[in-house]
Amino acid sequence: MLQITNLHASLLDGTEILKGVDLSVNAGEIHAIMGPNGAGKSTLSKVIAGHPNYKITDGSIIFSGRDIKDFQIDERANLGIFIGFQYPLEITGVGNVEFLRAALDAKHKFLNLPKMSGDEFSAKLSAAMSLLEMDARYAERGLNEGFSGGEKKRNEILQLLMLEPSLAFLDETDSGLDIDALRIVANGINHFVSGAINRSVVLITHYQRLLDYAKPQFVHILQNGKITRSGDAGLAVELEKNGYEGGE
Amino acid sequence: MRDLPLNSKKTDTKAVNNILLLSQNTAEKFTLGANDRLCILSLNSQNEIEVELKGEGAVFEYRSLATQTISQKIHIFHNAPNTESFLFARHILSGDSRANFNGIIEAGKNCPNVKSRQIVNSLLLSPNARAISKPELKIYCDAVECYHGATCGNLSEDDLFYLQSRGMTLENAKKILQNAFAKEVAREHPSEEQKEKWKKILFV
Repeated sequence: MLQITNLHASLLDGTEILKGVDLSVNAGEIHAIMGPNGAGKSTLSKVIAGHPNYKITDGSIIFSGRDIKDFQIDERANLGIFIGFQYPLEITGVGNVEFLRAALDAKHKFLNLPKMSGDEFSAKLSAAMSLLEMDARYAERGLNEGFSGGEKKRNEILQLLMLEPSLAFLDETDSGLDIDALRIVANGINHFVSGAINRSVVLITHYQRLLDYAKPQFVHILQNGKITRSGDAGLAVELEKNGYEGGE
Repeated sequence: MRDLPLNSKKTDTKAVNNILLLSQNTAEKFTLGANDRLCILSLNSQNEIEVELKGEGAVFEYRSLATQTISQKIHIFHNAPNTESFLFARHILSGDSRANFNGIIEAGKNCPNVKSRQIVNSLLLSPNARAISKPELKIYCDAVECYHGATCGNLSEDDLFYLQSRGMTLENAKKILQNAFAKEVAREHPSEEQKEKWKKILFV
């Protein structure tokens, strides 16, 4: 599904952040990427999304058989890549539901699918909101407007469940969550993956605790712009114990 | 650009007078008696307005959106205690458009507990667009609460990226953000009917 090969990316001033990332994610898999601050984890997710502040200098990102390196941000999204942001933005005046509706309509238009009916949309929304234990008043508010950190993360997962991409790249979705919110968010992620056979998730995280709930088959360590080690779920446990500088 | 709360009076308020000004030149003077409340909603209207808050508890609100070259001058005389005024102007300017906003607040002697707020936000979509905000406060009394603020800038790159990452085209993302910026002006206007008319012209 996703095949990243020798990916090099720099800031516009030329500072190289990604220095040859290799990562392969197949349909139905959950991966975790861990690594120290400043290793390039958030950059990797932004580069995959097509953020204009980064320039790809070498390598390729093959998604569903196409090199998406030169694709627009919205094209990548509508082809099925979803990035869950570490700091979701608050946008005053854009209603939460209005926004979800616009995003779904954009996707359906892009994929030449018929527009989802109002009834279907409402049913889908209320199912997703109840799974995420979200109060009805979330629906009435502006996009993340006045939401707490935890509510914003939950709202990202709501978008994930509504948009149903094939690949979700979730950047520190667990940071700032209390124990209950963590369980709810992980439940949403698991629900997403098990909802269809062709869905995959990459979790960027600092902590083992999210991985207790959303269990990855593969764990990678990103250090200094490169994946330096890969293993199974046991690697995350080992990291938690020994840190990134710990012995092999 | 957060919420702009206005502490509206709940007691003894006479019927609210609402005025909708649309795409015209308006020069008028209003006098408000005790507990009168006048709310103006304006769209691309070249205004020169004088308001005297003459009776205790009078409230004046002015909400305005301009999407073209415009000049507005609002002069408010707080001549009674416990009076409030709120000026809220937003501009969305492209090309060589120029917007001028001059809000003059005078809080007279022996008029304690005057509250006045003045906010001007300008969205400049082109390097040649200009917005000038000139607040003037003349305060002749100690116990007043007066506030003014102005912001100027283009659409946020981060906001645009966020919307695009959810599948909206750049063009559509810009439109959504501009509409949200515009709609905010009327959000707390008390008349649903006028809000609808205002929006209808704006969002066809």
